[in-house]
Formats: sequence, structure tokens, C-alpha cells
Amino acid sequence: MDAGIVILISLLYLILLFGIAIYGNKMSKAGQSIVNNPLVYSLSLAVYCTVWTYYGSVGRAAETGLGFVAVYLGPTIMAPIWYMVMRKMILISKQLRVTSIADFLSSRYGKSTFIGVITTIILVFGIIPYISIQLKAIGYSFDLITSQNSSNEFWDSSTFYKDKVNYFTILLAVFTILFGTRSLDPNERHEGLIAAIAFESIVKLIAFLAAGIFAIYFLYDGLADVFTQGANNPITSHLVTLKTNPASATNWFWVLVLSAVSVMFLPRQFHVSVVENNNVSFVRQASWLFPLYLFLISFFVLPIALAGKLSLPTGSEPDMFVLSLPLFHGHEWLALLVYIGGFSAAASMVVVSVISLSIMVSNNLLMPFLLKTRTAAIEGYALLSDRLLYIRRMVIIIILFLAYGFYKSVSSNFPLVSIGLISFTAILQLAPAVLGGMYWSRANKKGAISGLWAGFFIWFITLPIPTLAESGIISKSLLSDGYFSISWLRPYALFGLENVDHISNACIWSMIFNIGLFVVVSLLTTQDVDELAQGDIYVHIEKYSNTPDMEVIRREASVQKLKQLLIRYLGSSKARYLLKNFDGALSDKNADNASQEFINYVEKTLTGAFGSASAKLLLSTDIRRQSVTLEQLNELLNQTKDILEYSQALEEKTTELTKTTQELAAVNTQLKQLDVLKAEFISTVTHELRTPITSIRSFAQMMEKKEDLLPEQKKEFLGIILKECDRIKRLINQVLEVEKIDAEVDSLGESSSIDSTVRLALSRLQPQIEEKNIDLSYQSSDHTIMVNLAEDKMLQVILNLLSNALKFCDAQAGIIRVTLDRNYTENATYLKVYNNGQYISEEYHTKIFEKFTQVKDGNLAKPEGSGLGLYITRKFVEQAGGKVSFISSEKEGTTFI
Amino acid sequence: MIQKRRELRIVTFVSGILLVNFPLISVFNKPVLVFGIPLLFCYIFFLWAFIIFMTYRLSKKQL
Repeated sequence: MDAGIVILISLLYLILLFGIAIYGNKMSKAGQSIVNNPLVYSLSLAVYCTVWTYYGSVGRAAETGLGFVAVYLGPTIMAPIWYMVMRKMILISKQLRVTSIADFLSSRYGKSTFIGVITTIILVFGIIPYISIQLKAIGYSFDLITSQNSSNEFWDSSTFYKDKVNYFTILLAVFTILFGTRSLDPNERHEGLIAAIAFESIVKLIAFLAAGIFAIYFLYDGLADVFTQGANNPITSHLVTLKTNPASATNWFWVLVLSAVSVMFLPRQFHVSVVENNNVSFVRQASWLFPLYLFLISFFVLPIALAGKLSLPTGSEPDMFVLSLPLFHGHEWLALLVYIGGFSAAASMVVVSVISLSIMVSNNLLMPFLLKTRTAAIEGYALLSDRLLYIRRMVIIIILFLAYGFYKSVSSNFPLVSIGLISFTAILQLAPAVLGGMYWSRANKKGAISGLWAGFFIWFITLPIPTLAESGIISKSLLSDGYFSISWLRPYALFGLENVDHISNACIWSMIFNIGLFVVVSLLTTQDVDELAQGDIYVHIEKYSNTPDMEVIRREASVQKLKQLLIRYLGSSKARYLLKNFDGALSDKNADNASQEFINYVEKTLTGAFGSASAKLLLSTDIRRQSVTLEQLNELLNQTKDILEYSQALEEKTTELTKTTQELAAVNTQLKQLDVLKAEFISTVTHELRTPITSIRSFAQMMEKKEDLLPEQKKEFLGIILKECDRIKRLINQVLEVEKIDAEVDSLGESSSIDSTVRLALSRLQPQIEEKNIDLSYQSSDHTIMVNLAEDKMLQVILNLLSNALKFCDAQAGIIRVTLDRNYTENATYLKVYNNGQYISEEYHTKIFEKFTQVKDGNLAKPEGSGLGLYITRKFVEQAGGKVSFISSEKEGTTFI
Repeated sequence: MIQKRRELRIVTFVSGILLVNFPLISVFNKPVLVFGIPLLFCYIFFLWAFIIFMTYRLSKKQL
């Protein structure tokens, strides 16, 4: 493809990105932010996927098979606990207006300038190689896509002004400056930039998936085909498994660790996930959306690598398989899409990384230096903030050209991933100080400084220096002889650690010294007042995030001086705007002593703009601080902790109280209901009692008055009287039974067999069954089933169910089915009683098992009984740990289970 | 409830570490094809999807 077209399209694409960024900024100013949602947040995190992922993964997969995947599995394994760690980082950063990882550390360890300086140095050294591989990949992919065209003879990478990577670097520098340093925002938020990054994440994913689908479904017959051919070909068969030698296993482990750490602490990751975060709760969604993105972009990597190995001419660069596959097979437009995807991956990484590095270099490295050495001169500068922007622009250009230099001298000789891993190992050095600072309150400045230095030093001598030796910049004898020709100081086998790869060697030794010194020095030395106060904020952030300004050290300053400070450093229009935002300042405008809130507000604003250490320096001349000893502060912190705990306890008490009140109210209504039911019960029972008594009385009267009764009649009357007496007795028995249950007289511990009880019940009811001419069948289970209920109670239950069934089943052609069934999968026993009578209407479904409920139905004759039967049944069954329920419908009749 | 969710997060995290590392991973690290797809590839991507699913479940307001 013609180089002119490719350049034109690259430029148009950059302009499109810029348009998106401007649109994003405009929308956010209008209050309709397009980045204020979890999806865009997750996509912006995908700035993690650079050309390393886009081109480098395939190159790595062509060499180690699935070995490439560790870089994406690491963040995935972290994902479940991401919410806990990231949330804390975000809360702390928002609370203290931290705008970079260097500031995060500096602020934690007593707003230490020195910590900020070390961190910035580590990061600049660490990230420059990483940026250089982006430049390399852009240049390489450009070469490849234009290689079939003769018009690119102009380009010659050996001459500076003819090297296209040089022009790309300039283009990216301009782009970054336009994006990142348009104004000095106290929060360092760039919503437009985030919109552009999210868009680039979509582009690179689509382009990569397109390349994957092309390779697998157009060049081959799907996934299985690629893999089968790959597994059967001796060149690629080793790629379907991981190497199992100890060195590979160690490397696999350390790459997982490196990526899990880097995804949180890389400057660009910190920038998009913490500084640009709109809402802490987005982390929730991002913690699964972001791994999903990684999953998608990794899925086709190995198949593409296999397809490249199998179908491209030998000698093709594995790092460029993604691009050379469509090119080689003559699909130029697909290749162009892939090229744009790679360009997106590189551009987003470079822009965000360089912006965050420039913030760190200016705020944590240069500002404190300027403030310390030229305090007098500073007074003369009208606006520090304008100066700061110029400094940042210079820093951006310098960083990019350092990266360019590194690319020319070193990166061009190495695969993308191996250079990237060097950067990751540098980031790992921050992990102990960051995580220790967040979870261990005794971690102190001296410990952090020792750990960081030691880790950085070991990283430096085990990775970058030997890399320089390998590319011939310094003597290669270093690799075989070691430093000072001492064999146990060989950089790749430090202290004689053989049989591990370069990365693991560096990780193991740097972590031993880094963590070791950090912990030991922290334990042996003490913290100063600032460290203690800041450490308390980091470790117990939840204490501070609800109460915005829980200040433990009182400070004094005059309002006038603070205002002057803001105006001097931020410009008068900005200062006015900021003061308007802070109502507290306006209310005590004339007071000489500023409130604690106002001092904090000014400090936070300055921290956002210049970093915490610089803000401390700026304020130091104008603020008098109450002198506090370490013991006093400790006591104060404990007090605030106690207050917090006390208020939490109070809150718990209150909720408990509300709960109790609610419970009481519920019990009260229940009691009232019971009262009503009792009254109803008494009237029902007395009514029920009156009926038989009335009939007994009338028959007895008849027998008394009419002495000429026939013996048969007499016998009939006496029979009726006896029957009515039985009815009264039954009723009284049931009432007694209910009382017994209510008094909760338990007779647990006994058990009975259901089967024999059912048979007993059936034999008792035999006369009635025959009388009503009911078709009754009983299907027993094959096993003896025991229940934890005394036999008489069980009998009562079954009798109740059966007599109900008898009572309500169809008068002409009654059918009753009793089945006993044991379900072993659910470990449950079912006794089902089915009858084909009247169904139970909806309104009684819940009430039927209550005490004294009778189904009222005009069509049905007043049933005999008190409404206690089913209540007793339910109580008994529940005592045995069972349940009574029923299914009822018009057609099916009623089944009690 | 919050405590339970916290514990579940940590359990998922720790089991993730164990499952993707040696020695456990070597159970699947064999040159075998399952329907034409390498066993290790299947294992890693299934595990990956599973962790994503667990994290998704844990990110829901109701557990």
C-alpha cells in the first residue's frame, strides 16, 4: 500500500480521536458527561492492552505457546479482590487529591519529597523502554504495510530526518501536548481524553478480532482445524502445551504476579482507574468487564500465532504476524484496519503514560527542587501554574525522545514482550510500599525509601544493564563474567541463582531486598508526626471518607495570606472561581484566622495542582502548626478511632432498637388477631355445643312425655342421644388438644411408622367409608418409614386428613387416593391424600391451617367440626419437622401433601 | 452480608491463584486435543470465563 495513503489515514484517525476528545470535553462542561458510566470506565482501563498485547502477544505465543496468556490472567485473578483494593485507593486519592502514583506514595509517607523523587525516577526509567516498544511497533507495522510499494525509498531509518518513527514520535508529542496540557486542572481530569481512549479500545479490539476471524475462518476451517494442523506439525506441536521445566514454571508464576501488580500501579493504569474515576462504584462493573475484554483480545492469539507459523514464509517476524497474515494473503484493506488497531493501541498507551509521567516529573521532581532552591526567585514569577504547563510540555517532549533513543539503540534488537516485562518488573518495586502503606500502619518513610532504593538498584543491575550489554552498548563480557568479574555477580544469575529466566531472577532478588528492607527498617525506626497522620488516613480511610475534614493537627493561618497564595500560584481568575466554590471562606472573609476547613481546602487544591510535597512546601511559610508530639498524636488518632467505633456501636444499637420495636408491634397485632379469633371460637364452640345439647334435650323430653313410645323408637332416640354425646366429647377433646399444642407440651423422641398408622386409621374409618360408598385405595411404600412423632399424634394427623377428605369428597362418586412415597434424592417422605370433592377457593389458601377457620360456602352445608382439625394437623406435622400443604383446583380436586 | 461477600472474593482470588499455577495446571498441560482444541487451551479459557462469571456475580448488589 502506498505510504502516502497510510500516513493520510493515520492523520485522519488522529484528527477523529481529537474530535472525540473535544466532544467529550464539551459534553462534560455541559454537564452531560459521556464518560460517566461503568462501560466507558472499563474500556478506558483497556489502555492496559498496548502493542505488546496487539502485536507482541502473538510473537510471544509463536515462541512459548500459551505462555503469553499469563500477562492477562494475572489481572483476571486479581479481579475478585479488585473491588476491595481499588476502592480503597480511589477513596484515599479523592480524599487527598492525589493525582499520580508517585504522589500517592509521597503523600502516604508524610508528604515526603524524597519518596516522590525516587518513585518518579523508578517510573521514568521503567516506562521509557515500554514507550519505546510502542514506537518500534508503529514503525515496524508502517514498514510492513508499505513494503510492497517502491515509493517509500525516501525512508531510511539510519538518518534522523529520514526516519519515519521520528515523525511519528513528533506527531505523538504534539497530540499528547494538545490532549494533556491545555490547562492546569486541580483534579487532573481529562474527560475528553478518556472518551478518546475508550474509543481506541473499541477500535483495537474490533481490528484484532477481525484479524483473528480472518486467520481462523478464512485461511483455515475454524479453531479445531488450526489447532489440529498446529499440533501435528513438528514446528508448532510444542506450542499447545506449556514447558514444564522449573525455569518456565517460575517464569509463569512471576509474570502472573507482575501483571497483577502492573494493572493497578502502572502510571497510566493509576491515571485512568484512580485519577479519572468518576464514581467509586464503577469499579464493581469494571472488575468483570475488564477481564472480559482481556479474554476476548487474548482468545485468538494462539490460533493466529499457529496460522502465522504454518502459512507465512519462514523468517517472518512473529511480532508482526497479525499484520503480515492479511498482507501476505492479499487483503490490503484488512491489513489497514489491523494497522489502525495497532496504531490505536500504541497511541493510547503513549498519550496516557506520557501525561501521567509528565505530571509526576513536574510535581514530584521539578517543583520541590524549584521551590527549595529558588524560593526568592519564585516570588517574582507572576504565575507558577503557567510555568508548570511549559515544564510539562518540555517533559513530554524529552520523555518521548528518550524513548525514541532507547528504541534506536536497544529495543530494535529485542522482541516486544521481553522489553515490556522489564518495565513491569520496575513497577513491581512500588508494590510493597503501596500495599504496605495501605494496610500496615507501621510502615514508615525510612522503610519505604530503603525498600524502593534496594528494589530499584537490583532491578537496574539485573535487567536494563545486561540488556544494554546484549545489544552491544557495553561490553558483553559482563554477562558471562559478572560485575567486577565476580562470577556470583552475573546479572542473569545473581548470587548464583541458576536455572531461572532473567525476569524471575530479577523479581526474586529485588523482592527479597525490597520487602525485606521495607519491613525491617519500618519495624526498627519510628514515624514522625506527618507520617503518622497520613498513615492513619491511608490505613483507616473509611474513618475519614464520611467526615470530610477530621483534622487531628490544628493549624493556623490568615485568610488573606491563603488567598494570596492561591492567586499567586493559580492565577486570579481561577483562584476567584475556587474561592466561590468554597462557601466557608466567604462567610468568615474578614476573620484573620482561617478555619481548619479552609486551610485543608487550600492545601488540597494546591496538592491537586502541584503534588502533595510541593503543596506542603508552599504552605509551610504561611501556616503555623500547633506543635504536637508523637505520643499526643497517637493518642489523638486513637481517640478519633474510639469516637468512630462508639458512633458505629450507637448506630448498631439504634437499628437493634428499631428492630425490637417492629417485632413488638408485630406481636401486638398478632395478639389482637388471636383475641378476635378466640371470641369467634367461643361463639362457635358454644354454638356447636348447643346444637347437640338441644337435640339431646328434645329427645329426652320426648321420651319423658310420651310414655307410649315403641321400643324401636326408644332405641332410635337413645341412639341419637348417644351419637350427640359422642359429638360433644369429640369437640371437647379437640379443644383440649389445641390447648395442649398452645402450651407447647412436647412429646418428642418417640417415633412411629407411617404405614402402620395409616392402616390403623383406615380401619377405624372403614364404617364411614362403606356408608358413603367411597372408592378408596391406599398405595404403600416398599420401605418402612418412621417419623419423629408419637403414634397417637400421627394417628390424629392422618385421621384428620382422611376425615376431611371423606367430608368433602364427591357425594355420589367419591374417590380418595392415599399414597405414601419416599423420595431419596430429596431425602423426603410424601404422604398424599387425594379426594375429588369441592376445591378450596383462593381466599382460604393461607387461612386454612389457622385455628378456628371454617370454609364458608353457601352451597355447602355447614360442615361438622370446629375448624380445629387442620390446625392440629399442621402443628403436629411441624413438630415432627414436616410440612403440610395442598394443591387444589376445580378439576383436580384437592391433594394434601 | 458484606462480610460474606468479602470472604467469597478472597476465596475466589486464592483458588484462582492455585488453579492457574504449577503444579495444579500440569494436570491439564498435556498434548491432547479435545474436539481438535488443545486441552490446556480449553482449561485456561474455561477457568478464565469462570472467574469472570464469579466476579460478575460478586459485583451484583444482591448475592
